[in-house]
Amino acid sequence: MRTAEHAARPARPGGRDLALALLLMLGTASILGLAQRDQGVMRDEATYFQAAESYSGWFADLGQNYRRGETARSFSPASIGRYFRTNSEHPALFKLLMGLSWRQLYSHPNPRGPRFHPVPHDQTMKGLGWLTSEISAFRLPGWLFTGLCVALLYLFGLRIEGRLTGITAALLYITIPRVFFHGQLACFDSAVSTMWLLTVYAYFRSLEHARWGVYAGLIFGLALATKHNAWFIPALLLLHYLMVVWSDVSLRPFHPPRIPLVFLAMALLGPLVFLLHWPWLWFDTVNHLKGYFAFHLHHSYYNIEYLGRNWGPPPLPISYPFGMTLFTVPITLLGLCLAGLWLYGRTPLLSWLSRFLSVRPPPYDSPFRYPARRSWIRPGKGLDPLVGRLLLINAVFPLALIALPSTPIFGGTKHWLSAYPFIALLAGVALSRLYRAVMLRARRSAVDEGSAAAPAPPRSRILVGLALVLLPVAPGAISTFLTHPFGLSQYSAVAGGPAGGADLGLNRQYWGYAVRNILPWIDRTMKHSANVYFHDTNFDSYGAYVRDGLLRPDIRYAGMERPAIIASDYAMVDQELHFNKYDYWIWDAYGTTTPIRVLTLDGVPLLSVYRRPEPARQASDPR
Amino acid sequence: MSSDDFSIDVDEAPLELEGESAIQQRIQRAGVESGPTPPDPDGQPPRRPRLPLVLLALVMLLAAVEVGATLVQHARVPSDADWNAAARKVRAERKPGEPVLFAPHWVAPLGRLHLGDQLPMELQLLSDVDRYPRVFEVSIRGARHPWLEGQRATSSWQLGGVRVALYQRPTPAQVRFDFTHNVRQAQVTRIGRDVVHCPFRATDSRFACDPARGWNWVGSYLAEVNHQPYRCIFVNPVDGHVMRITFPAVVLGGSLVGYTGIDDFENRKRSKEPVLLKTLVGPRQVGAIQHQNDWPWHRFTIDTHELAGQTHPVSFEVTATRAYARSFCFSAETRK
Repeated sequence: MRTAEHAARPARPGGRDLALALLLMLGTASILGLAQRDQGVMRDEATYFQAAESYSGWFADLGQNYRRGETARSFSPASIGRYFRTNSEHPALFKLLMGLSWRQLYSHPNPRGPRFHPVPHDQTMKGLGWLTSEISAFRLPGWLFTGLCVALLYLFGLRIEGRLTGITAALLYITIPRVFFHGQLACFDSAVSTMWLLTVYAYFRSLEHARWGVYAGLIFGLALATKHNAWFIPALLLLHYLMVVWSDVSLRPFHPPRIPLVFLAMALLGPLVFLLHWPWLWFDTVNHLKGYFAFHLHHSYYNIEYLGRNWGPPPLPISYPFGMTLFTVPITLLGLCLAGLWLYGRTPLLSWLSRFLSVRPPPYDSPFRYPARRSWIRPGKGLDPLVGRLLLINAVFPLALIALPSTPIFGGTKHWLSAYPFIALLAGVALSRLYRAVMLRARRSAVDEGSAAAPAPPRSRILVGLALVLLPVAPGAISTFLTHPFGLSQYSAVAGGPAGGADLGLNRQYWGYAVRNILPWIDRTMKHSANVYFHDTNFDSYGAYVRDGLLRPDIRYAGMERPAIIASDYAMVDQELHFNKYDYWIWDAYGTTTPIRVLTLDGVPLLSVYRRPEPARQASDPR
Repeated sequence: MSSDDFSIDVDEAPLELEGESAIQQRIQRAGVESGPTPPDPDGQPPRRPRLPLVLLALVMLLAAVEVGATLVQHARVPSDADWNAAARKVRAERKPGEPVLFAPHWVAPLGRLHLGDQLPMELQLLSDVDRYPRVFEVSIRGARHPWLEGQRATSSWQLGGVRVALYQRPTPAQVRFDFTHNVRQAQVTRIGRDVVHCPFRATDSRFACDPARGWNWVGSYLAEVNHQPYRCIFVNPVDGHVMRITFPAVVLGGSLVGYTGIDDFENRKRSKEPVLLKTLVGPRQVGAIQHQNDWPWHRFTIDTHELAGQTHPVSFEVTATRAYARSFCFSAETRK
């Protein structure tokens, strides 16, 4: 097995690799697209649907104004504000793509639910009709982003280590159950993971190639335009860059690290792309930027169950992101990731330990020879790119950020999803080095047995290769399959599965999406014009179901909180720890504790539905 | 293009999992190309490193175990038939008024779905099961209800994935007077600079102290404390006032046992202030408890041994330094 972080040098992908990457991307997007048909609409998603439709309305308005020769009207603060005020705490790129997909690919017009449109809906509008579901049309960019991440993992893995690294990293990533879950959605988390990886990839290439410095600036801008997580990326890359050039830096004679093109491009092009893509920032820019940053710097504290306790305001448990990663990511993948870290880190670690202990570091085996031929546009040329440290920094930082006791926990694993591509790459490195070591041993055996230096038999190579790809991928793939479409209730075998997760006191529900699974039952059983308390399912999600024909339009949305329960005919509760009180409010209002339906995953209750008995008892509201 | 081109700086790599050339290079670096590994000095066959095979086996084993565990965890789920069998067993064995506890706590919605028709609501709002000679437990995954910890089931039935157990207790607590159940017998006053008598309002069964402040009432309530349901007497303290609930004629026993809590996790987040509950028999204070915000449903016991068998007025006084979001609730009973 290789001995040092720098033992491998980049290989270039050929045409067939690019074809395979494209296949991975489209295959992933297709599977996600098929899977999401059963997937409920998250609270946040429904908000983004509304924003996407609103933003796309601005373009429709722009087209009309252009035809009338009044283009400038669309660029007035009033017009931009009207369409882009919605969800202005998040940048617009992803929602613009959602709106584009919805407007172009969905078969308009939709006769159902005109009351749910955020801006006046042009009933004459016609899309290509490739998609018959509005929800799917809004989600399509999310599948493509996730597919792009898988493809990129293949190419990145190929460049840093080899083809097996790439293919295993790609498959290990998409079969992380929570990654697959978020990959289906019209939310930013999977997309920003892709953009994070793409920015790191561009930076990595920029160490030796000038044009990638410029690309990195543009890509970073698009990452900023996807989600605010991206603001952290330059600091991490700068840290890595300083490590790469450290050996080339001295005080006497004075050789400070140069500011390379890639960081200049990120500093200039990044904010420029961010500013240009978002019409909301084209006027009253300072105030709108203030509002954007303030929202995230002072984010409210949500409720989340972790180890049997409902957490809200700080201090929050430092172990949360690490514990949740342990309980949701397949342990095989985590073990391989640690092995990858060891392979990259053992030389410096053992060298350092050898000062104090009688340990012997592996022999130094670097292909990099000085003097380095670097310049400000190729800042890493001839230097060891320290791939292991690049992967480590990006794998650890997103978790470490959430681990800070003052960082709000507002959603769970999705907030450090951007770490998982790097975890998958580290695992891929471990697997491919293991493969090479096994093949090397087989070759030695063949030589010892006199069969000269012929390659190992193809069948055994293929078998070992297949086993090394498929078996480590299997735990995640099976867990994903068994827990679909309730990905937020998934827990790995280490936690004991969904039931083990419930025993451990981990969140079982979030975002009010489970109701999607009982919509056919609601349509079949509930009386006409039933007034339903949908609990955590927000009005926009309800509207999306009606618009898509998944819910009878006569079913009414009762509203929120206790008054809605008291007014309702049916009431449901998403089974999160802090939501237990809604159960009790329903008991009090309906005079019964017996649900008529309990939705479960592996025997774990996710959603309870109650029907008001006749006659009902008076409720006692304390306030 | 030869396979040797794969590993370093090539334009077009051959489409194979790992470059044969990389392995070839490693062999060459290890000197294998010069011929077979020489035998050991003692004449034994050459030893090849086993570590790669051991690691390969470990990876395969880990993945296989994880897959197996995932499938087993998925398969070991109690079926509807198991739950229905458990419901039938409880129906056959249980007498009316006997409580049924579910374990683990998260399975309760399923328990109520299948057994709810047998269980009045009040039996699911208990603070404890001390008064019951027979208690049923319906559980899965080997869980035990915390109220039954340390006790041994008299009988148990394993019905597929669901276990029904009966616990018989030889010396259940004998309740003399249940304050929560008899809250309508109380007289409620709000004491500040002046004393306000809070009239009982039949429309919503509560003592309303101030029509202008909808939260200032006393009465029976279903509270959420530590995410569990309890039947209790609701009383929100009032800044600068004492909320007094007096029961004019209470038969006392050896002890007065009660529980305190602050309703609703949102209110427990909004304020951290404690709430003080004093207990008086006649004019004499016999107990006080300062309920802290982060406490669960908290049990207190007051020794009333010397008053056992006597009838006295019993009062509860509730105060808080700052009453905002202090939706206090308590239950109490006298026991023999």
